[in-house]
Amino acid sequence: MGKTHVLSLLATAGAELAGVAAPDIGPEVAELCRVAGAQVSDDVAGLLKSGLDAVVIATPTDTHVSLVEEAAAAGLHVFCEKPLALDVKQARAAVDACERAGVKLAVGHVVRYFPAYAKIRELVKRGEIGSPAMAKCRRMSGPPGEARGWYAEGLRSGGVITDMGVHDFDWLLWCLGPVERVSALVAERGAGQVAMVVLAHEGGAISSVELSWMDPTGFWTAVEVSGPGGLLSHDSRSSATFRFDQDPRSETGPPAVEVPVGEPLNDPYHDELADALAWFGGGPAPRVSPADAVAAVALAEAARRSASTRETVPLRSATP
Amino acid sequence: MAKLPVAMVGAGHVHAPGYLRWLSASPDVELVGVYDVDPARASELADSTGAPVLASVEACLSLARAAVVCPEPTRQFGLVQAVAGAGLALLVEKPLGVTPSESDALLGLSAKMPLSVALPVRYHPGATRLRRAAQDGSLGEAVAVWATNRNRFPGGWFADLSLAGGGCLLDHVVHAADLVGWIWGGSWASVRAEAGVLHHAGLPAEDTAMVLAERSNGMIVTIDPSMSRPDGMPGALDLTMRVWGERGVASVDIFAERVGVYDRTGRLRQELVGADMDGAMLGDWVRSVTADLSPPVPASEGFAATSLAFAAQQAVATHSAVRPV
Repeated sequence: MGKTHVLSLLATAGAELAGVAAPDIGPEVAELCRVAGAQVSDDVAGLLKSGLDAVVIATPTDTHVSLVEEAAAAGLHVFCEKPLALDVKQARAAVDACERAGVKLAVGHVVRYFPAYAKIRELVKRGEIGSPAMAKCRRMSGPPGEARGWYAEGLRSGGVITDMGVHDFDWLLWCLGPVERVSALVAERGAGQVAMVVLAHEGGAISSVELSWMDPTGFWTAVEVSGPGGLLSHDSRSSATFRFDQDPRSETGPPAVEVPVGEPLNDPYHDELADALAWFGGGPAPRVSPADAVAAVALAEAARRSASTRETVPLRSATP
Repeated sequence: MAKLPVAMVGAGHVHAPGYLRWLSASPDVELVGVYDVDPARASELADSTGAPVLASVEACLSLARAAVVCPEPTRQFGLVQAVAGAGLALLVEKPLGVTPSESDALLGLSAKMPLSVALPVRYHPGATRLRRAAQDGSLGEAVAVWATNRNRFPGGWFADLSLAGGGCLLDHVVHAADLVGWIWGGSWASVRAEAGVLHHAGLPAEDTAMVLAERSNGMIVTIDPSMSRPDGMPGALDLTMRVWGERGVASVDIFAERVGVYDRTGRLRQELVGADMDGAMLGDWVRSVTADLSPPVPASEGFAATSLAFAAQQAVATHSAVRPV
């Protein structure tokens, strides 16, 4: 995600990329930084003290909270990749740290910025299908590649439920409201994982989230919401405006972690960051609040507990 | 070879007209008649198939060697009891009973006669291809199965609990559940489920549900049996499975073979084409009865698939995991 955010920052009017701190940024990002005149080092503390306004955190999930705390202590606004943390206690600690320091915290629940997901939510809220009854979210990818091995380490990424599922959990909370109960199952084979999570929302709606790190066809998502008044659906495969099936004999393999790539005209990754930066500068709040980010982590944590106990897990009001 | 004399005993189920059309056209079958509790319905069906109306279950017993039991679900148990012990071979519509005790009793009765359960999806090329991929090793060990068997709300007796005996869990869990058992063996270890009346206000039983189950071999299975498709939606009825195997992902879409028809105003409807799985099932059953073979889909297998639906109903009520019988 680091490269994605570097590109977004470079494309955002009014933002200036001051520097990147990372153990290894790769030749592409290094070149972007060189052209932009941004400093590159592995010294996080030094970068945070170099007179910034805000910082983007795009590191492995288990490092998010301590970095958010460090940035907040330095008086910087923070945009943190999703999920904010691996468990709700840590997520709250990150939010508290920002509140104490009087800095703003934005979290990269980018699905709210994907046009089809935003449109479906808008149609649901407008009453297009009546009271929403059922939703189904699907999010598939191949196994995380070896170059980004931390994804496959459950303790670092939270596995497929937390890393991938948190996108859909956030969107479902945004679209269908708080969740009362969670049931989940996960199966693993090597680095591959699949999971199914079923949510019972307050008011009765049922949603399900199908997640896979085992899809040999690569990344895709789909979503559907139905109700007494009709059905809304979207599938990234059938709405792709560009498709490139690479010759399998070609030497460049697929990327280590697949990220849907936005083009400048319609890039959710750019839009979420631009919204956050505008908020940091005194503009309106973005679509995702810190409380939303905590609620999504709480749901992911409950789903993982349900998958390991094989029981249904009740949630106290997911939105604090 | 002499034709097999077959009667239809109970014809209120939505599958009855299709079965009757096949039976009346088959060169291997002599359709001796149709009995239904509603004589008007029996004569309507008789008119369209040329089979006589039979006035009583007893009349079926004297004329037929085999019977298709295809009534509304709550009438199934009584009719099977009425013909049990008369030496007829039976093909019984799914689910097998509408309560666990009925299902138990039907399993017991099946010891007295060859009883096959109507689970036609086993005969569909999508299902047989999946079974082959599972058995020849090309899929590798199957880790998870995600199935949907959704529909629009069918209306009719589905809105009457005294005839339907349940909601979409009872009606639409069994097909996918049966395919899993048929293809991979083993048994159901645990199930959780959520359900509600969420798409069609006023229904007496759930029209929306999600089932989350585990097999004895550790495979995880989910089934969506909801009547969540809008009326008139093209392709409203589906039966899909996505199977996550160690060596790849297999996808089945039983009703995928269809032709899109756009009318003058651009409105789309779809004409289903492709395999006649009901006919394949009936043909196999007729052959098994004629040749005195064991039932193609034994009661025990229909029982296992139906038991998942009962356990899911219980899991909905208790908000906790239930172990199917």
